[in-house]
Amino acid sequence: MVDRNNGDPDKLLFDQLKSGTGVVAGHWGEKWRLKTSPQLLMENAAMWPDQPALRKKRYGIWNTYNWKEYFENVKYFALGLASMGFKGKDKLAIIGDNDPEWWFCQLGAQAAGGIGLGIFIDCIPDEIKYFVQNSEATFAAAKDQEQSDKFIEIKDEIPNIKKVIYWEPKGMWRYQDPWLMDFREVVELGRQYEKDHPQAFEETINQGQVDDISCLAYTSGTTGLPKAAQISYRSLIAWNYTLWKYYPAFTGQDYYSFLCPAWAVDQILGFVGCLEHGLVVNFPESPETVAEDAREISSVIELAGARMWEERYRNLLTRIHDADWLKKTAYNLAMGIGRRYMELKREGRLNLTWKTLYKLADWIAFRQLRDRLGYIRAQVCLVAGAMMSPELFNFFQIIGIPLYTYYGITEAGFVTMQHPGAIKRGSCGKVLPGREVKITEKEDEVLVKADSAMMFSGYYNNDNATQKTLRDGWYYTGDAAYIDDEGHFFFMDRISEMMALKDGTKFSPTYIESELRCSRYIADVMVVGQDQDFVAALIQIDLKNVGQWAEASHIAYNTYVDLSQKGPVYDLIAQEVAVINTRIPEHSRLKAFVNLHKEFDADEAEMTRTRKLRRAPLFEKYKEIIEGIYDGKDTIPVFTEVKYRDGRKGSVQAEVSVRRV
Amino acid sequence: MEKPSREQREVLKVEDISLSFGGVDALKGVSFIVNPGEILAIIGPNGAGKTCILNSINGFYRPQKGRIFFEGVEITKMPPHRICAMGVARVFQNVELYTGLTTLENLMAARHSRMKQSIITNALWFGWARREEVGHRKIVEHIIDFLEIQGIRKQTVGMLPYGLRKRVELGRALALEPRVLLLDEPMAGMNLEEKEDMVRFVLDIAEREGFPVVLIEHDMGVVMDIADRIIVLDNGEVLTEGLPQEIAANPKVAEAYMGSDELW
Repeated sequence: MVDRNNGDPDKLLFDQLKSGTGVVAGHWGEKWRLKTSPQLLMENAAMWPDQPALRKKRYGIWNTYNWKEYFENVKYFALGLASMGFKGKDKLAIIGDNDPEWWFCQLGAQAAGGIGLGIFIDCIPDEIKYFVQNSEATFAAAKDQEQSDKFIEIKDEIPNIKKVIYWEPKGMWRYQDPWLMDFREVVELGRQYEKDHPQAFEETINQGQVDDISCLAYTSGTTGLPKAAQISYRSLIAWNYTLWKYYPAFTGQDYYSFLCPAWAVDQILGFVGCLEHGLVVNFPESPETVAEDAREISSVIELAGARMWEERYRNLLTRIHDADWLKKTAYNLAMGIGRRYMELKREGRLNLTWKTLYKLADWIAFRQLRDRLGYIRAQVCLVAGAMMSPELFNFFQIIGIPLYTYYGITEAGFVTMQHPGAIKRGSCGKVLPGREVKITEKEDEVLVKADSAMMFSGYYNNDNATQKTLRDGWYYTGDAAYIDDEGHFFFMDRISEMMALKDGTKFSPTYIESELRCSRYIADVMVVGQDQDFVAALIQIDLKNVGQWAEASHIAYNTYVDLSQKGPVYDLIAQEVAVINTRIPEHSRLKAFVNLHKEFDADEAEMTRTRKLRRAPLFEKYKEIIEGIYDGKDTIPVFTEVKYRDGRKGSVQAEVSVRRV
Repeated sequence: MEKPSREQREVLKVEDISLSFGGVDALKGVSFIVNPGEILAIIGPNGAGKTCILNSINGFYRPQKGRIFFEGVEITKMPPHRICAMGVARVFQNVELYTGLTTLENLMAARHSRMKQSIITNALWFGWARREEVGHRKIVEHIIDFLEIQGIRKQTVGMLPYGLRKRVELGRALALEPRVLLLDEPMAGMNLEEKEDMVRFVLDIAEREGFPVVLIEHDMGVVMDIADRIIVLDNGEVLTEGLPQEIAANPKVAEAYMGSDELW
C-alpha cells in the first residue's frame, strides 16, 4: 500500500471546526457558525429580516421570500408537524421539484428535532416504498397530484406514514382522503399550536446539536439498492468550509437550485452553505424552464454532474449548427483563437497579441455563449459524478466558464479538488486538508479516511453495508484511481465498471462513453467488451438532433425505432465514431456499434435516478445484441418488453443492424 | 379551494334545432340541455352533425328552425363575437392560432374582447391602459401555470409540436373567461401521453372552474372515462342520451358506429 497523505496547513482552524462549537473564522474573514441549520435560520431571520433569502419564479415573475418569511414558514410548518405528533428523530420523506416548500419541509422537520430525506422526483411507487420503509419515515411531503398519487397507490404497504402533505393544490380538489393534507393546513395547525405552546419551537431548536444527523442522503446505487448515509450538520459545514477555502461566495449572492434536492449537492450548498453565508437560493419556475431561468439568475457557484455539461455542449453545438453564416463564422474564428490561446497558456508562452485576440474573441462570441448558458456571473462550477471528456472540459474553459473538477463521495464529501492555483489536465486536483487517501495496490481502489467530523455516521438501518465499507477508519469507495508524483489525483472509474479484453487489456468503459457522448448525435451509450476480442458500443441516438439532421437531409421517419435503424443515420454515427476513436487509446477503440431501438430508461431500472448506467441489468437485457456483435452477425432481431410509468407493459419488436468500423 | 356554488338551472339549452345546407339536412330537430358543471360528450359517426351543433351554438351557422338559449338568453340569431363575449368559448378541431406570435401573445390577444381602453391609450401605454394590461397578463400567467406551458411562453406557436399547440389553443379559450367551454376533438392526432395530459386538464377545468364542458371526441376510452353524460348523434338526430355505462350497453349505439350486423 502506498500512503500519500497531504499535510494540513490550517491545523488550528481545522481543529476548531472538527470539535469546537461557536464561531470559527474562515480564510476570507467570513464567519462559520457551528450550529444546526434551523439555528442558523433563526439567527439569519433576526439579523437580516428584510433581506432576500429565497426566490421562486411563479407566473413569470421572480417572487422573493425574505429571511423572516422563510423562518416563519419553517417555524409554523415545524409546529404543525409537532402538533400531529412528529417528534425527535422522526423522519419526513420529501419528494418534489425544487421549490421553497421543499426547503420549508426539510428545515421544518429538522426544527422539530427530526430528519428530512429526499426522494428522487421520478421514482415509481415501488421505489418510494423502499425509501419510506428503509428510512422508517412517519410523514411524507409530496409536491402535487402526481406525487401524491404515488403514495396513494402504496398506502396499504406504508402504514407508518401518518400524513402525506402536498404543497401544490392543483388537481387535488376532489381528493377526500384525510390522509392527505395541504401544506397551508399544516402551517395553520402550527399557528394554533403556538398559542398553547408559546416557547415550544425555540426550545426544540435550541436543543439541537451540531453533531446531530441532519439528513439521510441516499447514494445512487449503481449496484444494489440505495443506501442512506447519515450526515451530521458538522460534516456539511466542514465540507462547505473546504469549498469556501478556494471558492468563497458572500451574503446576497445568488445560488441557483435546479438539481434534485434529494442529491447531496443541495444538502451541502443549497441548505447549509446558503444558510451559513446568507446566499439567496433561487428556484426555477418549472422543470422545463430550468435553462431559461438559469440565464436570468446566473448562479455564482454550481456543482453538477458531467452529464449535464455534456447535454449543454450538445445543445450548444446544435444551436451553432443552426445559426446563420455570420454567427457561425464568428464562432469558428473565436474558437480557433481560443484553442490556440489555451495551448499557449498551458505552455506558458502567452504574449500580448494572443491576450488581445482572446479578449476580442471573448467579446464577439464567448461572452454571449456564457450568457446563454447562464454563467455570466459564475465564479466557480465544479464537476462531479462520472469523469468528463477532456475535449469538453477544454471547450468550456475556452469560452470562459470557470470549470473545475473534484472527486467526492456522499459518505465523505469533497475528497480532492482542483483549484486555480494548481491545475493539471485531467486530474481532480490534490487531496484536501483533513482527508487521507490510500490507493490499494491490487485493484487501485481508493480508500478515504477523514476526521469523524467529515465522515458520514454509517448507513441508516444497514449495519451490514457500514461494516463492509468502513474498516479500520478507512472508507472503501469502490472507485479506481491513481495519484501521480506531484500528488494529483486521477479518477479512473468504478472498480466494478472497469473491464478487460480477452487478452487482458484493461479499459474504462465510462471514459469511452463520456467521449462518445460529446457527439451531438449520441444521447447515451453503453460500451461492452469484457472478455471479448474488441470493444463495441450500444448507442442511443439523440432523437432531437438526429431528427433535425434527418429532416434537413430529407429523410422521412416516424418513430425512434425507425429513425435509429436508417442506413444514413448509421453512416452519420459511423463518422462521429471515427472522429472520437482518434481520442481513445488505440487498444480500446471501437470496432463495432449498433444503434439501439429504444432509449435507456430509469423506470426499467436500466439507469439510476442520477442517470448512471446499471450495467448488469443492461447486459442481461441486451444479451442477444451483444452476442450478435461478437458472433459477427449483420442484423439481430430484438424483442424488448417496455414498462410504462403508469405500470402498463408493452413491447418493441425490431431488427437492429451492426456496423463495423 | 372552495368550488363556486352551482345554480341548478341549465347553462345551455338547445331546443329543436334543424339545419340544412341546400338539400342536405345536417341537423333534424336536435334538443338537449347542458347542466352546470357537467362534462357532456357528443359522440357519433362521421357526418352525424356533431360539429354543426357547436357551430350553431357559437353562431357560425344559423339554424333554420329552433332556438338556443345561453343562461336563459336567446342567442340563436346573435353574431359570433357577441356570443363569445357572453362567455361561450370554443376550441377548434383544427388549431386556429396566430402561428407567427408567441404563446404569450396568443393568449394576450384572446383577452382583447375584455379590454376596455382605446387604441390610443393602449399605444401610449400609460396610466389605466398600463394597469389594465398588467391585470390581463396576470390572468394569462395563471392560465400558463395551469396548463404547464411555462417552458413555451416565449416560443412562436408555429414552431411548437401539435400536442402543445392544442394546449395553447385550450389556453386561448380559457383566456376568454368562458362560462361554458366547447371542445371539438381536443385529443385528435395526439399520442397517449398528450391525451392523458389533455384529459387531466379538461377534468381540472371542469372541477376548478365549475363551468360545463361540451366535448366532441372520437376516442371512446376517453369519453367513457371523463364524461358525466353522453349524447349519441346519428344522421343529424339524437339517437339516445344517458350515462356512460348506459351508452356502452346500448346496442343501437354500436350499430350506428359499426354499421349493421351484416358487416360482421
